[in-house]
Amino acid sequence: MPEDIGLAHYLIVSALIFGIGSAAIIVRRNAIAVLMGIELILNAAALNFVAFSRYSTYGKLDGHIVALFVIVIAAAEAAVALAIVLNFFNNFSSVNVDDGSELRQ
Amino acid sequence: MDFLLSFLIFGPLLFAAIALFARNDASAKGICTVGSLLVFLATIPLAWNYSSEESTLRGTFWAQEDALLDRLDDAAARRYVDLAAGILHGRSSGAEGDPGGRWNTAEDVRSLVKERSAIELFPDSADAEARRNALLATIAAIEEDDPDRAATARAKADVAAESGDQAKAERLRHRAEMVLRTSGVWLDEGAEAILISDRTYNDQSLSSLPATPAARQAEISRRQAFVEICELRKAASLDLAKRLKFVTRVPWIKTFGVYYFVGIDGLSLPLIFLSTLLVFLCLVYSWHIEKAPKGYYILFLVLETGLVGVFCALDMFLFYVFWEVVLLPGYFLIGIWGGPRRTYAAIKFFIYTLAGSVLMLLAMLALYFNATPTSFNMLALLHDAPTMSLAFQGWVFAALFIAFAIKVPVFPFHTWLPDAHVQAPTAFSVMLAGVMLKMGGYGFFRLAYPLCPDAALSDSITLPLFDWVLPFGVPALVGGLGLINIIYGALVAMAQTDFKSLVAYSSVSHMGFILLGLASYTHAAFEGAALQMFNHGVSSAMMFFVVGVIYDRAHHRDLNAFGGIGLQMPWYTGVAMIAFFSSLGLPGLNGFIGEVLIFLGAFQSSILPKWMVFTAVLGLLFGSAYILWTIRRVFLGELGNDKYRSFSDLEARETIALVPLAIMCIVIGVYPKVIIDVMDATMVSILEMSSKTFGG
Amino acid sequence: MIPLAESATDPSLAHAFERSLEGIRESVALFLPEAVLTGAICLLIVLDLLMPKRQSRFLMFVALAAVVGAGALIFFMRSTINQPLFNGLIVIDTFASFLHIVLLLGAAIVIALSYVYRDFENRRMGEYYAIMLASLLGMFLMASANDLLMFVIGVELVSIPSYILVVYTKEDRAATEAGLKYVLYGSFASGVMIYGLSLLYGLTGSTNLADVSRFIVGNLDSFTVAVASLMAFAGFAFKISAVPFHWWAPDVYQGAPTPITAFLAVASKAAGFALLIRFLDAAVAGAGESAFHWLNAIAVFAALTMTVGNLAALWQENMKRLLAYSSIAHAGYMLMGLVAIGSSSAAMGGHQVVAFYLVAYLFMTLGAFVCVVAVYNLTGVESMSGYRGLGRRSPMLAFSMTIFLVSLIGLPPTAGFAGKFQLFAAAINSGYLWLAVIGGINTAISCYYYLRVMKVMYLDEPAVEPSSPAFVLDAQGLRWFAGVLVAAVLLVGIMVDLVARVTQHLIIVTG
Repeated sequence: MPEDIGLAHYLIVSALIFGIGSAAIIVRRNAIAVLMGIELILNAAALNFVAFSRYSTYGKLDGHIVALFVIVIAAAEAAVALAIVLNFFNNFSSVNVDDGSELRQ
Repeated sequence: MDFLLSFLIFGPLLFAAIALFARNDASAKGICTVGSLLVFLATIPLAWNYSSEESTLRGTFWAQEDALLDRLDDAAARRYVDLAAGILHGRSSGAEGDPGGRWNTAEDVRSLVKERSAIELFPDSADAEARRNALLATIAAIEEDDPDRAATARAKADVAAESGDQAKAERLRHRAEMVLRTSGVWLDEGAEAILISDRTYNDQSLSSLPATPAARQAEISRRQAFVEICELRKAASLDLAKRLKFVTRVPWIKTFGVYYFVGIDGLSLPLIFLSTLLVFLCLVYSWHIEKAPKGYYILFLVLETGLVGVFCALDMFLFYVFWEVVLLPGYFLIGIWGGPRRTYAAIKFFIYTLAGSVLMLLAMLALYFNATPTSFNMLALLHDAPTMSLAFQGWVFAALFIAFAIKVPVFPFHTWLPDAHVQAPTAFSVMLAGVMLKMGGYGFFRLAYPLCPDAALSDSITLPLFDWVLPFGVPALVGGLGLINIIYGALVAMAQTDFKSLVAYSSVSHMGFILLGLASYTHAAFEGAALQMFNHGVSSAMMFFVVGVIYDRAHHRDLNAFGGIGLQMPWYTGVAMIAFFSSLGLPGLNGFIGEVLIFLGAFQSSILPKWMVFTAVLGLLFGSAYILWTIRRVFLGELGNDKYRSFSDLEARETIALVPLAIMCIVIGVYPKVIIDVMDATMVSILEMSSKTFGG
Repeated sequence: MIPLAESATDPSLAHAFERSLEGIRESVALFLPEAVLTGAICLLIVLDLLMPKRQSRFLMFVALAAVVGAGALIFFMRSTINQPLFNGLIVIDTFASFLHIVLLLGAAIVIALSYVYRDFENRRMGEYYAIMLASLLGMFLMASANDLLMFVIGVELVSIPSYILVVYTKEDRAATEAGLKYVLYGSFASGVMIYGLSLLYGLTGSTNLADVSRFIVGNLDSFTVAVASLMAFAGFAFKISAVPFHWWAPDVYQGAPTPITAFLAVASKAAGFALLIRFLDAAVAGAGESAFHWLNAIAVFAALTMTVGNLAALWQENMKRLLAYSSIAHAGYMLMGLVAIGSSSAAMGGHQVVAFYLVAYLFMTLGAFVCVVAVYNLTGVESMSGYRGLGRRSPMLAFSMTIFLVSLIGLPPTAGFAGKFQLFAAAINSGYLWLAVIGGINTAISCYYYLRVMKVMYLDEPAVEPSSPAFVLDAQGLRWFAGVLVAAVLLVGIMVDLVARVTQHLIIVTG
């Protein structure tokens, strides 16, 4: 069985995760849920990188390295985004994205 | 003298800058007015010294060419001539230093061209016949080069050697060599592709450059010199070049090949004279403005810079820059000092004219990239005009035509004019009607027609998207539009009750005559149209001053409420009569001369349908109608309102504004030779260029 | 990045390691400007901890010194170098150096602007400057990126600090809302970009841009390549606020503190364009005719961006929002110039005309924002009503704003015209006449809202009586600052050669 799991499987999984993440971002109105979606997308990309690197014939580990960076970046982004959401909550008393609509003219 | 022309262009800007720091309004106004007077007076020596036969352009060009020739060396010159000749033989390009078939004289090249068939010479070219004809024309023009330039240089070299200056002697001998070697040289598409891709070089272009940076720099310098020489020769070989005087050509933006290239010929000289005079008169007239006069005067001077610059510019980029400089002062002058609906009128004026200018920019860029070498030099472009394909010319002509048609204004692009005129302050209306409308006409004569002769003369128009072939040709279209201008303008003018609006529509009507002249393609018609531009400038400027005078007193412009002004203000009425009758076309005043020449040319024309000419005469009738009716309504008859009894006659500033124009009306009406002598040769050149089609 | 050997005991592993260390050692010497910035960031954080809040605004000078120092280092050390660094992760070429100087110039002006901005008066500013320099560092990496990893790092290093900066005035509701929209939208866009880049990596097998370039040029018609590139483009388009990824710009520009708006509008956009140019150059340059799908796509995006930006700006009442839509439109114009990428023209290649326009755009946009800050500092108003009668209340400020607006329209003799002319020329030379026509129409449309601002300044009655003491607005230092930028705009517009001579020699090296 493990021999049957090839590159395609990883790619399909990551595509699915990407899709779910995008759906979460587009559909959900809760800012935290949107952040979760963003994390999903970033992880899908990282998975892609690792998969390609693992099954690459060039013998290099470039994809693994990029994936490490992506994970770090995702963490930093999440931290900042959560801080901003917290600030939003302090000002608007809600984490619903639609509640911030004072700027629209 | 050449510097005087640059003073004409930038002098107003200088005075405006000085006035910016003036301490109070009165001194600012004074500085501006005196400045504009000085600029006008500077026009007089230029006009006096202008003669259409002695051109200084060639002198200027030869001087610049000498400097360029010094940069070539023997090997380079030989190489480039060989490359050009190699293409001629149909050999593979890029052959360097192959001495076989070297052509040192124009005669050799000419005989070769005559011998070989066009297919052999230009195997890939569709328009082979056309290109061969153009090539022959180029060679003929180059043969006009002073053949003694080489001998003169050698003689000067000997003199220098005698007096011990060996370096100078060496340089002059080298120059003589280069003159000989590069004569008979032209740029053909193949040679162009080898030598240059565009005017500048960097590491990525042209792999055939040598390796070391110093050698590369030297080679680039030589190639640029060679390219420029060819461009200068193309420009100098034009017939129009003989009419240009007071030429200055200085590099401005080297990266794109933009030069500060100015000069005047018979077409632009009267218009420059008119602009500077009108600005001075307007500034004197506007002395009574109370609201922010400093800004008003400074904006006027900036406007003058733009106007004079447009008429002098011989480089397309420079032309465009000055064209746009006119827009912003216009917006502010209408928008701040105008009438009740001034904001709307100002924005409409700006956006409408800018849309036209952008079209002109696109046409200009298309011409630039199409030229070999890429050039903004109007003269070089004019030289190459017959070699442009009909389709390309069609697009360029359409773009330029619409751009200038908006300025003229031609129906249906005229809707900005009535609003702009009615809402603008009097002095700006004078400038608008007197000079700014002429920018469009000038553009037709300078650019649209000579650059696209085939398109302008073509007798069938094919609309691109739908592939409809229209049943009339371009001259008929232009003539028809002119006709609509004349008749429609006159009829609408008759219906107006606002005095200024009536004069505005009469402007539209009179500009239609210019289009009629353009479409006729005869000597008399072109001459008449150019003269009409000047005359209309004078007479409509006067008419707007007339309107301004009465508006200042009555504070309204309702024609039906006036009456009997003639008895109250006799001097004013006398001067106003001159203006009105000049506009009407009364013999003895200047308007008649222009109109009669246009009609003469139109009748003689083999291109314009005769029925248009007959119908245009109706326009004259309508013109007389509304002018006489206006005179009756305003000046004659019963006093419209008792308040009019208290109207004072002309004040000093109004007299100064009106009388010079009146004198000019009479003088030109009686002795038009003054102006026609100036214009004649230039208009003949322009007519020739506009008629030069593939076959002609 | 790091060449890998067959097994752990392979002697070539040691060699590979040696080689990569050698590469790094050589590169560090040339990496000094970025090191200066990094050092400044650390220094600012430490100093900010030590200083009391009231005096933390003087840390502006430290930040400014770092920026100027980095600029001098680049000018003297890097202006003629064209080589990859760090084993091909970054490349320093004349294009990168030029953009670095542009970014530093923009950052310097924004730092100076932050010093005087009213809303920053009682805040701890040390970390502000530190975060701004961090974002600037990311922009440096974006401008010299030569590896897909650097694309990712660069974009994120720019974005994440800028999320923080937008919310810096955290009690302001507008800033908070803007920040939330920015971070959610921006993270989504960069996530999509990273996914797209991962697909490209998979197709190519290497993250090095030269390898990716070879692959794409050989497979320009491939569907997968197109999809991957479009996804990557989503990230770039977000950074340059191109349609259809422009939705964040108006809200974020309006809500953020004005110096940050200026920073985003100019520096962030310049870095975004630098990255886009590198990617496009890698993908398209040298491909000739077969790249026309790509160029057509760029042309379509350009047309859409211009039009949407200009049309939406027509009825804006808030000055910052109007400038936001105006900068969207200008991104469209620059995209129009980009269709010339890969053109053989010597002075009007895509990257050259965009580089020139970025200089012109920098001066005119920053100038406009200086005026906005000046008016806000003095009147507290950001909407159009604060500008009424500015011609009489502060003539110099109104005149400066007029020149910037004229330059934004693109009238000679301003820098905006010189830039726009080159963009049109590049588009026409590449055969995209229809695009140039649309650009022209858009220029005419844009006149309307720029002229409206001028009309408000000069023709409208001021909100305050002429006799009241608050009538005359004395903008002091900001007036002269605006004046200097006016001089710069006019100088670049008249002596075009000053900048054009430099952009003429810009090349892109893909190592």
